[in-house]
Amino acid sequence: MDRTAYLDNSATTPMDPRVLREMEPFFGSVYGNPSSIHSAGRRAAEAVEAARKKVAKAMNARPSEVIFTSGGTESDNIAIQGVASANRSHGDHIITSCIEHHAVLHICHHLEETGFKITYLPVDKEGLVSPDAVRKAMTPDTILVSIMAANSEIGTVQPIREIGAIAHSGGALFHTDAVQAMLKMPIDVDRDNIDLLSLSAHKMHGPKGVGALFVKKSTKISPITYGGGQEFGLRPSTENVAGIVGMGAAVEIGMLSMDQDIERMTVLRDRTIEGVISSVPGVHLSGSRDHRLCNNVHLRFDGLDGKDLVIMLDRKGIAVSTGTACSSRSVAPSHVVAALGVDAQGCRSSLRITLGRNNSQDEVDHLLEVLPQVVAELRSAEATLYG
Amino acid sequence: MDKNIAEGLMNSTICLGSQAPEFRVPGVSGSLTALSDLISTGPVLLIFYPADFGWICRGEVMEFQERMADFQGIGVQLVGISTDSVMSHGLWSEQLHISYPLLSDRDGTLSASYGVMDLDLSSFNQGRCKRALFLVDREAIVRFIWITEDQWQNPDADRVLAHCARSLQCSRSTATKDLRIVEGLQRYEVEQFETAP
Repeated sequence: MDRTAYLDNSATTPMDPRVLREMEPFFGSVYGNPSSIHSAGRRAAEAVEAARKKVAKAMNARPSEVIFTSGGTESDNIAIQGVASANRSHGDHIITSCIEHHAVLHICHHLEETGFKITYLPVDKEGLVSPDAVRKAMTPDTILVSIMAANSEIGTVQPIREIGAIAHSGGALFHTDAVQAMLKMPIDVDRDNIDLLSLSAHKMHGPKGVGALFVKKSTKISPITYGGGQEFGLRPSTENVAGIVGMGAAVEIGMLSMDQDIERMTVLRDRTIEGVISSVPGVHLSGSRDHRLCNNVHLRFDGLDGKDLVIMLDRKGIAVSTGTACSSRSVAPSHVVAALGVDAQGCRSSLRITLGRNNSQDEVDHLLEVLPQVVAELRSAEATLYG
Repeated sequence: MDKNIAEGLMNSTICLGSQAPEFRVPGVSGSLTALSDLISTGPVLLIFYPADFGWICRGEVMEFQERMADFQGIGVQLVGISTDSVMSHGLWSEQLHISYPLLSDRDGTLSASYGVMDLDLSSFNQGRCKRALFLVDREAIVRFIWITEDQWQNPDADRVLAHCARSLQCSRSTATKDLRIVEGLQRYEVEQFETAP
């Protein structure tokens, strides 16, 4: 196989070699427990705090407002369950959208079973949550609004600043899952009216198994697990020091070139969209043209199964996906694409192409060369085999 | 609704003792496999599952693979069926080392003829087959049925094995024993739903 292209960067990103280099000592010589008083422990603690500063700086937060977790899913769980538990005496209503990641939706389903009232806002055909709908859904019992910054499947960027302001004006906290958005768009927790924000390192060329949750100072929140006082009492467990160091490095490195990366990925994204639409018949773009992550292309191909496209493209050295990595192994068609009004068959015809800062124009052109052939081959095979 | 699926649904009232609908669909190699060919060498357990590469389906097909020798021990062949393509089946069976055949019911006609095509517009599984099992004996008679509406619920291969063994024993014996299988089946389904997550 001569040419390859990894175009599934919303599933995960290749770790930056600089990140790996920074992590390496923490798998060997620097083995202390950050809670220990001795020098080995202090060295580990210093590394954790240095990483905390880097992550905080990237979103204009204070280091004491950042807790490290095992990833985006845990961050979402602590944010939503922690706020729900600590604020139940103030209200039992939470607002979210129907296109959130399962890490948010499944917690909300669980909270419903324990008596909370959840409003799942619909989205329009581009996948946008209407701020006006948030305003109308607010009640005196609303304690939390949780709307993702950008969608992992269709890339739609939500008006979080406006939604955060609406939540605050109604006395509710605002949480956003920024796992896909971080480093793909500028985020400022102060400017964007954010009280809680979830991050994952491996979406940013960092290691898997580590994430962070921003919790604005004075936010009323309870831990959801117990057993220690680490991470300001919110996430008890001995810290994943190497992972945290890697996350700090990944964010710091990413911030250095974020503006240029966004610009370059936007050009490649638009080249991909235009290239596929102009060369492949029966193809539809999902999501918004104007409010779209710089790295996301989500297409639906009439009469095809996205899974078959992924397999065929993989044989040609191109890695893409049918949707989120998290949902692609479940039997359900995407709840996100379905929320746009697309039927089940249309949902299954989805192909998600997500760029990373390492992707080149040559890789995109390789995809543009191969994809029309693959679609034609598959359509022909479908006709022959299944008539 | 597709004409073939609609016709299939009309004829899909399968119960214990029914004649199993004949089918002819492609397997991983692309060549067509018919039910009549399969049962000519012995009873077949048709394992309908919603999708290749699914988390829950993975557990199901792997569990049947692990118990394949035991099913062979009672003379039962295993055959997996979903609406995925032969290409998808090929990759998945290779990845999971599945050695029993997976058949591609791409347009859902076969699933519909067995009454297990999910056409509920409110279901996330819409357009795919439900999770279901049919034991078909050499005379093409259905001897055991298990169907669940809960796509997160896998059958317990050990218990299916026991039911298959008893069903085949009874099919060679009296009507009184047939009745006992129906009772056993009902108990089994109730227990399955009670343990659903």
